[in-house]
Amino acid sequence: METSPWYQRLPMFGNLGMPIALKEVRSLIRRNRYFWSQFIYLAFLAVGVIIVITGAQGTVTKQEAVGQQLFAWFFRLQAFLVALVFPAFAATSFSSEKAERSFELLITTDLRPHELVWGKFIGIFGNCCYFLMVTLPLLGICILFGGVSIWDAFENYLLLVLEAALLCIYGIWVSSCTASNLRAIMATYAPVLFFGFVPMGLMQGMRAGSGGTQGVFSAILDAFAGQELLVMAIVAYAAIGFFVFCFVAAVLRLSSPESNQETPLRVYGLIALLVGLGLAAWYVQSSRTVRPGWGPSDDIEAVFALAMLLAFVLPIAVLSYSSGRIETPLRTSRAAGQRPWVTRLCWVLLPGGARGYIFALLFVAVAYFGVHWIGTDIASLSGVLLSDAPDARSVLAYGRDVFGAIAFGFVGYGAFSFLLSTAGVRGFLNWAIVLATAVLLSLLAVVYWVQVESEQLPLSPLFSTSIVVSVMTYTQGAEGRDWLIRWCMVVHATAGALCFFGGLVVLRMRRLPALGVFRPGQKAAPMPVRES
Amino acid sequence: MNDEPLPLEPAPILPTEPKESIEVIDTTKRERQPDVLVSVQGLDMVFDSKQVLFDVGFEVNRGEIFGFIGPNGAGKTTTIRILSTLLIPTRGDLWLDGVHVIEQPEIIRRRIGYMPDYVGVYPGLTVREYLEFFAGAYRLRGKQRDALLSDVIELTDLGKLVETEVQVLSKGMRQRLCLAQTLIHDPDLLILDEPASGLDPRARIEFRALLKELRRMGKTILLSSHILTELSPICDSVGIIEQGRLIRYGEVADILSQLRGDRVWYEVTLVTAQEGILSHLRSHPAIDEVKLDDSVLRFSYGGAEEDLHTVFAILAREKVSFTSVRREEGDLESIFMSLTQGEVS
Repeated sequence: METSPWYQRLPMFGNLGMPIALKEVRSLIRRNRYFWSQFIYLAFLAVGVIIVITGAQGTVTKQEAVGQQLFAWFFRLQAFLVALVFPAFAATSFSSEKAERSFELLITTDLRPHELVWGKFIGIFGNCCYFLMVTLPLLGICILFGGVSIWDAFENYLLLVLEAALLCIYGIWVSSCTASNLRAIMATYAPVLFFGFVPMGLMQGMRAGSGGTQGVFSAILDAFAGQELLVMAIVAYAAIGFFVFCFVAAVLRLSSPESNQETPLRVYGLIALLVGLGLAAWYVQSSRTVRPGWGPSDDIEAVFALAMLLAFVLPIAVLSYSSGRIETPLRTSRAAGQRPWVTRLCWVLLPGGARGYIFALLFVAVAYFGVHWIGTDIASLSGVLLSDAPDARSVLAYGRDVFGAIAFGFVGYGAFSFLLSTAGVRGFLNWAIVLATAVLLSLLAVVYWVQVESEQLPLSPLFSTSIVVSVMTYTQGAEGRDWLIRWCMVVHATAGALCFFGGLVVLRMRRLPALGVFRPGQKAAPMPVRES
Repeated sequence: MNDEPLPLEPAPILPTEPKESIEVIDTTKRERQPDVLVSVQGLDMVFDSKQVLFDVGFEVNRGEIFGFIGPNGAGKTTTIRILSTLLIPTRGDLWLDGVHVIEQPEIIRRRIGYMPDYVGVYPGLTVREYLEFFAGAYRLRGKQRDALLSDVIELTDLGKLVETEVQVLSKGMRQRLCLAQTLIHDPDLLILDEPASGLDPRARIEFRALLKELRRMGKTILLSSHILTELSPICDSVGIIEQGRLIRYGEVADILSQLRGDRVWYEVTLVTAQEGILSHLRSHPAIDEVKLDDSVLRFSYGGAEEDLHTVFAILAREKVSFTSVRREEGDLESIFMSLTQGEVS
C-alpha cells in the first residue's frame, strides 16, 4: 500500500492531525447548537455594547471617553463569554467519542495520540477563533467613537486568543481523562469558575470596598513594579507551560503504556522546574537593582515564597499524576507488572484511599515538625552568615508557621478527598473538587479576614503574591497575628477528623473495607448473614 | 478491615488450570509461518481482580474465515479487543504475520480493520466525508485514496448513500459503513465483533454474502458471534470459548469428526411408536445408543455404510413401518451444544 511522504511520517509532524481537525470542524458547525451558541454569544455582546453606549451618553461628555469605556467593557465582556462558552466545545472532545463508542475506531487508525490531540485542538480552536472574528463588526462600533488605537484592539484580541487556546487545550486534556460528558464538563468548568470568575468577582467587589482590600491586590502588582519584562516572561512561562503540560498529559492519556510516553512529561517537568527557578533567580537579581532597600532577608523571603509554592503545588501534581496513571483505560496490570513499585507508590498516593490520608498525615509530620526543629538551627546559622540576623530569624519563624499551616491544610483536604472517594468520586474529579474547594475556601478566608482587619495592612509584597496558591491567609496572619494560623490549624484538623470519620461511616454503610484502596468498579463484599 | 493483598499484581488471582510452560519470546518479531496470519499464545486477562481469560491460544490461517463463538460473557470481545490493540493482556503473546501485537501496536493498526460490536458514527458527516476521514487517518492521499474509496463504496453497495448523513442510516447500513471503514486501508486481517447482531434477516444474509465476497478476495476474517446459524455457512474454522477458556478450535469438519468419532446418528420417523423395537436394535453390534421419542427413533451407527441395510432389515422383520429416514449432519450448533455448558465467566 502506498503511504504518505516520509516527512509526513515523522513522529512530530505526521499529517498535523488535519483529518481529525477537518472532521471536528464539520461535526461542530453542522450542529444546531453551534448556531444558537454563536447567536447568543453575539447577542450578549451586542446588548452589552448598547447598554454601555446608552449609559455613557448621560454621564460622559467626551466622545473619546465613551469610546474608551465601550472598548474596555467590550473586551471585559468578551473575556467573560470566552470563559463561559469555549470550554464547552473542548470539554466533550474525547469524552463524547468515548460515550458514543467511536473512540475505539479512532484509536485503531494510524493516527498517533499527539496527532489526535493536536487535530482536536486545531479544529476546536479554529471554531473559537471564528467566534472571535465575527465580533469584529462590533469592535468597529467601539473604534468609531475614537479614543482607542488599532494596536490596543490587536493586543486585546491577542489576549482573548491566548485565553481561548488555554481553555481549549485544558478542556481537551480533561476530556481525554474521562468517558463521561457530564464529568468532563464539570471538571472543565470548575477550575475556570474558581480560578477565573471568583477572583475577578472579588477584585471587582473589592474595588468598592476598603482601602486595605485594595491594598492586598495592588501589592501583588507592586511586587513586580518596574519589572515589566519579567512580568511578561512569567506570563509567557505560565501560558506556554500550561499549554504544553495539558498537551503532553492528554497525549499520555491516549498512549499505550508500552510506548513509554512518560518521558516527555518528565522532560517537561524538569524544564518547567529549571525555567521556574531561573525566573525566581531573575526576580531576586533584578529586585536588588530595581527595589531600594532590598537585603539578604528579602532573599530568604523570596526563597520561602518559592518553597511554599512548591510545597503546595508538588504534592497536588503527584496526586493528580498518580490518579491519572491508575485510571487510564489502557493501563492494565501488565504495565503494572513491569514496574510494580511504581504502581504501588501510585496507589499509596492515590487520592481517595485511606492510604492517601495516611500520606497527608506523614506530610504533616515531616513538614511541620521537621521545619519547626530544624528551622531554629537554620536561623542561628543564618544569623552568623547574614548581617541582619533578626530579620532572617523572623522570616524563618513565620515561614515555619506557614509550612505548618499548609501541612494541616493537607490533613483537612486529604480527609475531604477520602470522604469524596467513599461516595464514589475518584481520580481526576476528586482532585478537581478538592482543589477547587481549597481555592474557594481560601478566597473566602481572605474576604473574611479583610473585613475583620480593614485597617492598613503590614504587607510583605512577596508573600502577597502567594495568594494564588491560597496561602495568603496564613502569611498575613504570621505577621503578628498568630491566632489566625492557630485557628486555621484547628479548623483544618477538626474538619479533617470529621471527614475521615464520615468517610469511615460511608464505607461501613457501603460494606467496603476501611483501609483498602478502591478501584473503580470494585464490588462490595457480600452482606454478612446474621443468624436468627 | 481488608486483609486481602492489593489487587495489583499481574499474577493470577483466581485459580487457574495447570498448563504447560509457554516459551517466552523477547523479540518483537518471530519467524513468519507462511500459512499462519494470526497466532495467539497463552493469553491471560485479569480485570479488577477477576480473571476473564485463561491461557487462550489459537492460530488463524491466511484467507480463512475464523469464527470465534461462545455465550455472552465468555471472553470473545476481550480477546478481540486485545488483538485490536485496545487492551493489553495480563500475560501472553500475540503475533500478526510475525509482528508482535503488544510491542508494535502502530504497525498492527495499519494491518488490521477493526469493527466493534456497536458502531458509533460522527453526526453531521455524510457517508463520503466519514470514509474520507478514515482514509485521511490512514494517510491515504490523492488518486490512491479516491480509487480505494470508490472500490470500497462499490463493494459495500453504499453508492446511493454517499451524500446521506451517517446518523440517519439504518442499523444495517451503518454496519456496512463500518465495514467499508475497516476496508478503507486494505488491511490483511478484518476483525469483526458481533457484526450481524441486531440486523434483520435480509440484512444478515446480505452481510454474509459480503463476507464471502471478501474471503474470495483473499481477506482473512476473524469474527465473533453467539448466533451460530450466522457463522455456520461461512466459517472455515472456529474457536469455541466458554468461561474464558478456549475449549476447542480448528476446522469445523475436524471438530465434528473429533466429536462424533466414527459414529453417525440416524433419525427414523415411525408410523406408530413401538417400544419393543429398541431391544432388537440394541442387539445390533454396530449400534451404540437408541432413543425413542414419541414416534421418532434415533440411533447411533458405527458400522460401514454398506451394512446399514442390516439395521433396516431388523425394522422390516419386526414389521415396523416408517415414513422417512434422515442422516444427522453435524453443524456448529451440535458442536457448540456438546462442548459448552452455558456458563459465563
